Order: sequence, then structure tokens, then C-alpha cells
Amino acid sequence: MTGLGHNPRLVVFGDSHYACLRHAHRLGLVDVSGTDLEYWGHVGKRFLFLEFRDGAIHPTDDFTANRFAKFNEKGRLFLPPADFDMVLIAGARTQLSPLFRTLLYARMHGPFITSGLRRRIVRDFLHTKIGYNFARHCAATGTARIVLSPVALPTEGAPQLEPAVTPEMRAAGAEQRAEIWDTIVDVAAAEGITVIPQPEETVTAGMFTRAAFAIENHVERNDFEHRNPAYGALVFSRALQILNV
Amino acid sequence: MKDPAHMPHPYEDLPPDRYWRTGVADVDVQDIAGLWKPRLHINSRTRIVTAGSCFAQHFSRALVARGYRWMNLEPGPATLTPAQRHDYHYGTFSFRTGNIYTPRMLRQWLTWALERVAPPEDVWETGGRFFDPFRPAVEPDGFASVEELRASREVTLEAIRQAVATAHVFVFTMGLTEAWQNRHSGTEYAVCPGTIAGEFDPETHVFVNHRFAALLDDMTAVLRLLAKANRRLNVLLTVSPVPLTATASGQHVLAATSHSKSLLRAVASELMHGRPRVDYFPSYEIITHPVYRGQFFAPNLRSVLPEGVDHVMRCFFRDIATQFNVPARPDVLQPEASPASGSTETEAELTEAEELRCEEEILAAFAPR
Repeated sequence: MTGLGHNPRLVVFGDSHYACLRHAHRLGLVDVSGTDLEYWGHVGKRFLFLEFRDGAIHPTDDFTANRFAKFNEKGRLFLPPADFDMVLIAGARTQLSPLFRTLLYARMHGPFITSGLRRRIVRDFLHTKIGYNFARHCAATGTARIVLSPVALPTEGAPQLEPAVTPEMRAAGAEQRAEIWDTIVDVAAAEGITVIPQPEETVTAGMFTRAAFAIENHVERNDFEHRNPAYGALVFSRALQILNV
Repeated sequence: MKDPAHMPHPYEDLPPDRYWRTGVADVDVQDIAGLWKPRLHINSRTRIVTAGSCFAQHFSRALVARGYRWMNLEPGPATLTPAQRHDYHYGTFSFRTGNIYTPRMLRQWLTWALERVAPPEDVWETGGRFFDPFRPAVEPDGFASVEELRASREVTLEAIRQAVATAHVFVFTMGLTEAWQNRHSGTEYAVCPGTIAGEFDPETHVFVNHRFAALLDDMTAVLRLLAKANRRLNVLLTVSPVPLTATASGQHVLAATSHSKSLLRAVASELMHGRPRVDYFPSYEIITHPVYRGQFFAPNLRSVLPEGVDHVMRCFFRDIATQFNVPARPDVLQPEASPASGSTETEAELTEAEELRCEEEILAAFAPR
């Protein structure tokens, strides 16, 4: 129990990228005992059938509503942030690798990008992301705290990204990544959103996630996107720190 | 049989465009042709750079739209969206100087870039952000620090060097004779301090309305700098037809506009004499002359309508075609987009395989234990 007079109410809202948080929870890698915890999510494609209206995220059809309700503890057909102290938006189609590719390339090869332009690029990019826009709308209600954990960078060896990453970009270190993350955090904060940057210890080769945080047999399954419970535990722990439990 | 009383004189047998009646009065104004007798044969292989006042930006768009080789030496990141390019002045001119209104400003930029003279230390600070007094609009919210400002300006100076070194034609649109300078150093600013950024200080900032001799001197210096850096470079001058927004001359703004444009127009003609690599294209006349009855101006009689820009550029390409007996390029080969348009990030659809993997992840996470 906290100063709230009740256990903090937390909902994890996301697409398949929230699965690693659920795994971490089920495996006991994080202690969520002091929270009233719910999950509300479904595969990313179903996010195209969600809209924000009347202060809540609503499915636009019954099929989608039922899909989301199926994986929610209370069978919620829609998600009002006002019902919670924190909405943790996990993944939710906020893939940042195109943004990192652009900014890291410019950082390592030019052209010179000012911090103002970098901020503008980041803001405009985030505004194209469904999950980020839900975060903005939720934050604008002034109810729950809105925390966003974007989709982790692709796992090292990701065939679609590897050719686009130059040796110089691969050599980029924490300082170069922090410049990008700091901008993302600042832009989001200005819109009332707390961003959890990808934990630095999970990153390798400039802009990839270490294979140690990929799902099992990710190469055989050709899945360079999803994360394992260890990654979920890192993100979940940081969210709980923010929630102060 | 020839009339024995007839005395030959220079005004007989001239082409129709040399007589007002056949060149203007009897012609539909849209068909008035030959206003420009180009000295330079500009074709699709000609490397062209543009700089100057705001009207100059129309040149780059028109050149790109017709498949001409407009050079953008400071394009910025390839992924910028058109809106980002516009707001941060990428692709407006061949380098990111913002508008260069006066010959003195161009002379300053070229001196800094080509002679590698360090620009003055002047920086304008507003609300904790830093603005470049020589291009205050290129960074809409200013720079985060003086260091960032200087680093960014150095990129522009390098772009100017590259532009001058590699271009065949340097197009400069002269805009104003009025400017503001640092009283002590004589450095000229892009705009009056305190308007876009900075703070006006009458002890430091002084108004100047350049006179003919000074304008000619600055432009002569400009030509010298350009020739020194690239002996084969041609210069195409134009005068912006856009009237002054405001004048600090003490005159009525209409009279001040006439004064300013007349001087610039005269300087352009003066510079052409004895310099075969210098030419003047009369966009100013095409927009402002009474024969066009102001049809190319918006209701505020200041902004030039897109039809006016189109007509100017049609004249430009038509006169090249006529002079060099080549086919005229179609008006628009490509959409009238920003010269270097970017892409907008959109939500990509998941493939079936990706969707299946996502389903598997969720089912595994929520399956009963």
C-alpha cells in the first residue's frame, strides 16, 4: 500500500512486445505484489482497430474489443487511463530503429544535425507511431501517469537491418545513443509521457539488442524483434521504480 | 525603286521586339517574348547554384521541376520530410544561408567562405537560445549553444565553397539596398536586430541604405571573389520583384521600394558591361512592369502569385530555347515539390509471418500454466 490509500493500479498496455513483461512477471523476475496489475493488449495489427475517444482507448469493432478483453484480467473492452495510477505502454508498434538509423548515421557520417533539428525529427517521427499517439492522448487526460517503453532495437544479426548499419554506426557507443535517447525522453516529457529508454546493458553493435535478450531460438524462428523475460524484467523493474513500489 | 528622299537610320528594319507597338502593345502580354537575350546557354547539364532574396527560391524549384541540374550543396539528412526541410531551410537555396538580401551580405558570406576569414563573433541570444545574426531564420528555435551555431555555420561555409568551386552558373537575386549593420565593425546583419531575434541597441546597430557606388563596389568584389575561386563560373543576376515589407529610410515604403529596386537594377546592368560571364534575367520587369497590370501580385500587391512565378520561369526557359535554338522544356516534368523532398514515416503493415510470431508471443505469455 502507498500514500494513494490503495495499491497502485498499473495496466500494461501493448502489442506482442508486452509478452516479455508478462513472462517476467510469471517467472517471478519482478515483484509486482504491491500493485493491482492488469494487462490489456493484443498483436500489433489490432492496434489499427483502436481509437482514442471519450478519454479512453476504444476498439473500433467488436472483434478487436473481444480480442483485447480476452487477455485482460477484468475482461475490459476498452481502456480508460483514469482507472489507473500508471499506464505502462509496452512496445505498441513504437519501433525506433528507423529513427536510430537516421540519427546514428548522421552522427557518425554527417550531415551535421543540430539539436533543434534532431528534436524536430524525433517529435515528427514519434507522432507517426500509433502507440506513441495513444500515449499522448492518455497523457492529455491528466489522469494516470503515462510511461512508454518503446520496442527494443532489433536483435543483433537482424537480416533486414544489418546491411543498413555501417561499421561506424556499429561502433557507436553509449554516449552517441544517449544523445538520441535524451532527445526522445525530452520530447515525450514535453507531452506528458515518461519514456523508459532501452537499458544500455541490452544494447550492442551500435543499435542492436544483444542476442542474450532475444526470445529462445530466435534465429531458427527468424524472430529478431521479440524479447525474453530477462529483458521484460529490466523494463518492468524500471516501471515499478517510477511507480514507486 | 528606292525613294531618293529616304535617309537610312538605325531604327528601320529592327526586329519586332524593338518597337513598343509590335513588341508590347499589339502582343498578348503572356506572349511577350525575348525580354531576356541570354548570354549563357543553360542546359540540363549546366550546374546551377542559387542564392539571394526569397524570390530566388522559385528558381531552384522551377529548375528541378524541369529536370535542370540545380545543385544543393547542403541538403541535410536524406530522410527529412518536406515540412522539416522547409522549416529548417534545407533546399531553399544551394546552401543554408537563408535569404541574402544585399550585395554586402553576399560579399560577407563569400569572404568568409572563400577567403577563409573568420566571421564576426556576433551572436544573438533570445530566451536562452542562440541565433545566427547572418541567418537567423534557418534554425526556427535557435541553436542550443554558440558552439552548435558555429559548427552549423561552418557546414554552410563549406557548402558555399563547394558550390562556387563546382557550379557553372551562380544565380543571385538581389533584394534590398536597406540593411542594418554593426556600427563599430561594419558587419551587416541579415535582418534588423530585435525583429526575428536578438535585441536592438541603437548604440551598436545602425541603419544603412546602400547607395549605387557601394552596391556596385560590393557586387564587383563579389564577382572578383567568385572568379578567383572558379574562373569559369558564370553569374546570372536578377532583382527580386517583391516590394519592401517595411522601410527605415524615412521615405514612404512605395517610394523606398522604387529607390531600392532601381539601384539594384542599375547595378545589374552596369555589371554586365565588359563582363561576358555576367548576365541579367529580367524577372523584376516581368512581374512589376505596368504592361502586366499587377496581375502577378496577390491582393496585398506584395506577394508574387504562383502564376507570376510560373510565367517568369516560362519566359526564362523560352528565351533560352529561342536564343540557342533548342526545344523548350515542358513546363513541369516533375511535381512542384521541394527540391529535395523527404519521406514521411508511416506505420508499416505486418507480414503474415510477423503477425504469426506476434500471436505466438502473446499466447505463450498468457497461456494457462
